[in-house]
Amino acid sequence: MPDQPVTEPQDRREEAGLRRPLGVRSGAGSAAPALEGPPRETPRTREAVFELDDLTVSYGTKPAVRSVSFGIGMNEITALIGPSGCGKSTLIRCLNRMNDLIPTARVEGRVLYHGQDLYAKEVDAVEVRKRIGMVFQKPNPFPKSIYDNIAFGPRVLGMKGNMDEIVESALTHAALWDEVKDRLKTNAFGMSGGQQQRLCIARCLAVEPDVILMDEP
Amino acid sequence: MSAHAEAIGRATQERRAKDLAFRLAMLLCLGLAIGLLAVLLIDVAVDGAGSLSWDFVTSFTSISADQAGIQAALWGTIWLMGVCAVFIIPVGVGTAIYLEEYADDTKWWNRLVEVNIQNLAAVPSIVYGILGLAFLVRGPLSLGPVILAGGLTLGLLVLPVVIIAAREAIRAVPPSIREGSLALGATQWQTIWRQVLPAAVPGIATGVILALARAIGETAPLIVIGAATVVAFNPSGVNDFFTAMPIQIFDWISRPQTDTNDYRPLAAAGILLLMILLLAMNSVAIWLRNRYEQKW
Repeated sequence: MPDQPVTEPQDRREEAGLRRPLGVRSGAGSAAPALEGPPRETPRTREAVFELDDLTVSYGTKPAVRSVSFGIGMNEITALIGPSGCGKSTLIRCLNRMNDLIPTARVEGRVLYHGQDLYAKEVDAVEVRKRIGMVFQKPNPFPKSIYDNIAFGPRVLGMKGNMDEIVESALTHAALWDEVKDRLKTNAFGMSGGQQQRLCIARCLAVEPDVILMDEP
Repeated sequence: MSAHAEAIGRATQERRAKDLAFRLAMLLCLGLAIGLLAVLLIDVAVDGAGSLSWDFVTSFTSISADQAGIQAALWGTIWLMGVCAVFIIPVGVGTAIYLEEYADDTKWWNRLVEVNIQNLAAVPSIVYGILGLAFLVRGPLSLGPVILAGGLTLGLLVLPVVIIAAREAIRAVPPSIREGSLALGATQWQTIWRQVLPAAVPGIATGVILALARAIGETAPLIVIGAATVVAFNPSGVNDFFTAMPIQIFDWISRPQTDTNDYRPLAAAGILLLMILLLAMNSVAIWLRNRYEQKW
């Protein structure tokens, strides 16, 4: 599936010290300038994965993110930092079209993914989310067994391969395998909050996305 | 003792008295409701317990009261409930899924549908009987007064109940579950079919059972569509004529009673049997809810 090198999950965690924090300054609401900044030209030799061009997102009439433009390079770990309520989640949710689910959300501007506008008419949001995975702020395991939580993604995507191996590999990469290998069939709701979140990360890794968006996981 | 203490004591006493009065008033309301039900139940039990036997369950109705039984009506009711369930589960759940997952609340036609479903739940059952008579028994479908027509009529009657229960069950599944599924690249239908519905099944099943429990006691629509009252055979398919338990009870009560041929104990026994069925169904519903309900 991946048509370009994918960052290995282990690398992501090792580099989780946020190698290239992106100083996006912002304020909430319409009074303060919301996530505003000039197009950031980072000296970069690598190909850009995302390019945001004058992105504005509003809920109803209230803008949550205004005129944001920047790029994210391949095989990089990019972090957005800002105060609570400044639009980090809103912005990140634009990158895999999760904002489609919020009826009042309106997205203006362009989000390019390898040069393709994610909000172009012919783009299928399901296809976008298949390639661009997401881990949410609050752990949201499915009310199923640990095994089925991981296996759900590969199953719905019709992925080939041994499911047991996929599950083990995903859980190992999320540093959860040793804790749960003896209770894969028990309900995921019985896990601790931290374990649940690692399960959600493993779930995301199992479908081998090209990009993983993490909303303060 | 200080003045403060006295004042506190006085005020407390007054308020306590009021508190107690309200508590007693509410208890009285409860007693009235439960008491009347208990009187009814005891009265029926006293009249019918003598006639409620295995012979009663396995005999057909007869011109002689001491040989009459409820078998045909019992099987008629079971068939009706089967047809009703087969109809209401897919249609009711499908409607609920559309309204909860797909419909855009801001569009007036969707709101119109919602308001109408609430209204339909309150329409008198006899109106559904007339509908069944006009469209199923006669009219376009012309099925005749058979099981299929009766089951579908009852289905139409309780469909709003199922839709409302299923919608509540679907709404109780938190949005984060849908987001989690969609973020993995699942389609909306995969999300509904594999995540939302399984999580909502206990609530939906409870709603379906309660809807069937309402349908099982309905008499008026079945009488209107022309269900038979004296049937001496069990239905063997959906195109057979039938009678049902409430109709059988109604028939027995409305016959001329004599000292030697008294159908009233039979009617009471029929009511008892119906109550037992209802109690069993409601118990299953409560058990389902407690056993499988998902705490989020």
